Amino acid sequence: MTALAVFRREWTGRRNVILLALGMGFIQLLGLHFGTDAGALHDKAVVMTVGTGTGLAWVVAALFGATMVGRDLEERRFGFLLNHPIRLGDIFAGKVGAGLCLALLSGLLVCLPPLLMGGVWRVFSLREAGSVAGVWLAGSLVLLLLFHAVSIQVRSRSLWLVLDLAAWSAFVWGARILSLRLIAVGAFAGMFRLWLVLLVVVTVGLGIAGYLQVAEGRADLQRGHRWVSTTLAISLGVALLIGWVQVAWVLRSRPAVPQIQPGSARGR
Amino acid sequence: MKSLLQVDPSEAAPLWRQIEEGVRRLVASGGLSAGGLMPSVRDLARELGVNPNTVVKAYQHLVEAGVLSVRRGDGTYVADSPPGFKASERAALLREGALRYASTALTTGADLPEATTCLGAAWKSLKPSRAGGKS
Amino acid sequence: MTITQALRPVDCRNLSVRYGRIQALDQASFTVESGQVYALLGRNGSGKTSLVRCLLGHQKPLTGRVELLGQDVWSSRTALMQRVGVVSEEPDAPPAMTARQLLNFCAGLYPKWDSAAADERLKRFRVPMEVPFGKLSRGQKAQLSLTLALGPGPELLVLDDPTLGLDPVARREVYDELLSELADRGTTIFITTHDLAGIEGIADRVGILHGGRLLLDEKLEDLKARYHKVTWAPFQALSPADLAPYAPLRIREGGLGGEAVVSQGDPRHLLDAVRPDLKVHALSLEELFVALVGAESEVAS
Repeated sequence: MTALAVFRREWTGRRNVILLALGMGFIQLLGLHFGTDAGALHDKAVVMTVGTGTGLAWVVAALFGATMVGRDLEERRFGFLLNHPIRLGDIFAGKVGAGLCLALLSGLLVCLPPLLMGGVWRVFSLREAGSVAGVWLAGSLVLLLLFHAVSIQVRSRSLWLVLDLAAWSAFVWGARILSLRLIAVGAFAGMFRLWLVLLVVVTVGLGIAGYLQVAEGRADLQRGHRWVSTTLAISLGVALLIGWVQVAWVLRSRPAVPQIQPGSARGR
Repeated sequence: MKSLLQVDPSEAAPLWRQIEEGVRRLVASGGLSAGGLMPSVRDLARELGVNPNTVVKAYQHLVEAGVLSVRRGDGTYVADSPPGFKASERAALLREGALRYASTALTTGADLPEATTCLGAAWKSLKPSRAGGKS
Repeated sequence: MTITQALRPVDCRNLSVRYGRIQALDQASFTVESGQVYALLGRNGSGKTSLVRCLLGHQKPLTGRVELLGQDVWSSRTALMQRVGVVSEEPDAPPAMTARQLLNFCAGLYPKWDSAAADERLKRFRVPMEVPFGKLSRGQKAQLSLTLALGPGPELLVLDDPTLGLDPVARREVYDELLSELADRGTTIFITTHDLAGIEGIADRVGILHGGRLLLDEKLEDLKARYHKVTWAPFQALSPADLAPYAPLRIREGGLGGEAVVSQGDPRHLLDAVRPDLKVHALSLEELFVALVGAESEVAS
């Protein structure tokens, strides 16, 4: 209930994003209109429109994430929410919900012209359209949470940023090693599964970190940063651990090809 | 009431005492007529810009002193007649007031005759009809 | 009478806050009794903002705890905010929301929200309903914020410099509203302010914060009875020993004479017994604040 109030509060004042999306949709419409003669070109334009929609949705999500709490804290507006009987979880959920809706809606508005002209249904099946929406949603969620965490880490200007950089570097380095081990045995499907697992675990970690930033940090940017950093470092570690177990399992169930074993490669 | 009664928070005397004395002065000089309705605590507090509790305290003292009277569920009124104090009570009240006046006079460096003259003049200005009446 | 009504509206114990090497708050403790108006005074950078943030559960103090109406504010913030009205130092409502939207926003959050009273108050303040918050004047923002804070009929009001940057008329309107609220509902008020003359007639108790420490926490009436200013004409040399029994805060002497703020005892004794040629004056809250904080700053530097 109170999350809805937060949702509405976020929604008011970001109406220009909707206008921007409508404007972009209109420009796309021109593109589509001039491409109506050649069928192939038309299809290409529809795909492009959907691509633009994806881009806009993701950019909106990232920008929203970077500002949803950080800007409130910097402009000392976060107190407005804290001074009312709104649960901390509702503050976070309301903001994330508003950000996702805003991202999806702006993406959708860009695609409005081909939708109205029926072009989308000629190029994409209903199922494909559904998976496009899924990709938008998942991507928006990841970007929103990621940029929220990063914005807190950057805005607090504390030394904990060093830990953040170290944690991310270690994670990228570990993920690279794990990926290389799978590539070495040609387990490309396994590698994509690995990345998916890492992404899911890190996203969950980002979600928890974002909630804790609001619930434990509240108006204290530095304290929020500490919670984000610790949570994130732990979840990156957990992600690597799960990834490592997964890789070990893949390698054990698949007999290695002797020639391209990492050991022999290193021996040369 | 607004222009007649004034208080200054930066003075040494507590605000409730300033209000109490202001009302006493108004009653004594006829600025507030006997039996008249006093402003409500809420209104007077807003007018003077002071905490309502201060006004309540001043009113309580004035009611105890018999200057004002409370009619249940109606409001606070100026008492109809000067309260019938016993001689001992009146003496105590007068002594208390005299002490305050004497200390004011002393801190300004006045001597006793000067202070007495001043008291007489004040007496006359407040209640011309009663001046020189029975003590 | 329920049990909660008997509990102290504000109870702060040993609050400390640090930012790196800066000690923003150092073991600050104070309480506010029911129905009291507590004014917290302090210069900018005295730790007031940190204290208010701890008081409202916006920030966790390094040590110490805050109880509002008998409940821990950090852990019970959501429930407490049903009963506590807040006006922030910076007008912090979303700039794009109009007064009407803000009223609806709050009405949905408080079961006890009094729409009629809030509408009437805004009308009295002449705050337009359909103008976005960001476009209102400073005075209108303060008045709208106060309206939102009073809407649910709070038991405790926390006002962080509510008259900051207001013109005299708007300031008077804010005080009038507070005085009516006090008279009608006996609400407990915690207020921080730089407007010492304005709060002087309203505050019951005063706290002065300086360098993160609570220099003073006393009933205003007691303060006025205790502190006095003593002045003397040029060439009336006064030795510090004369004033020593009265605990002088600071003594200043120049070509036009001297003055000292004394903090103890009835200075009429001083007049009678020691130096009949001295003058003793009452201190306004502002003079008292300057004397106390000024003396403390001199010690520090």
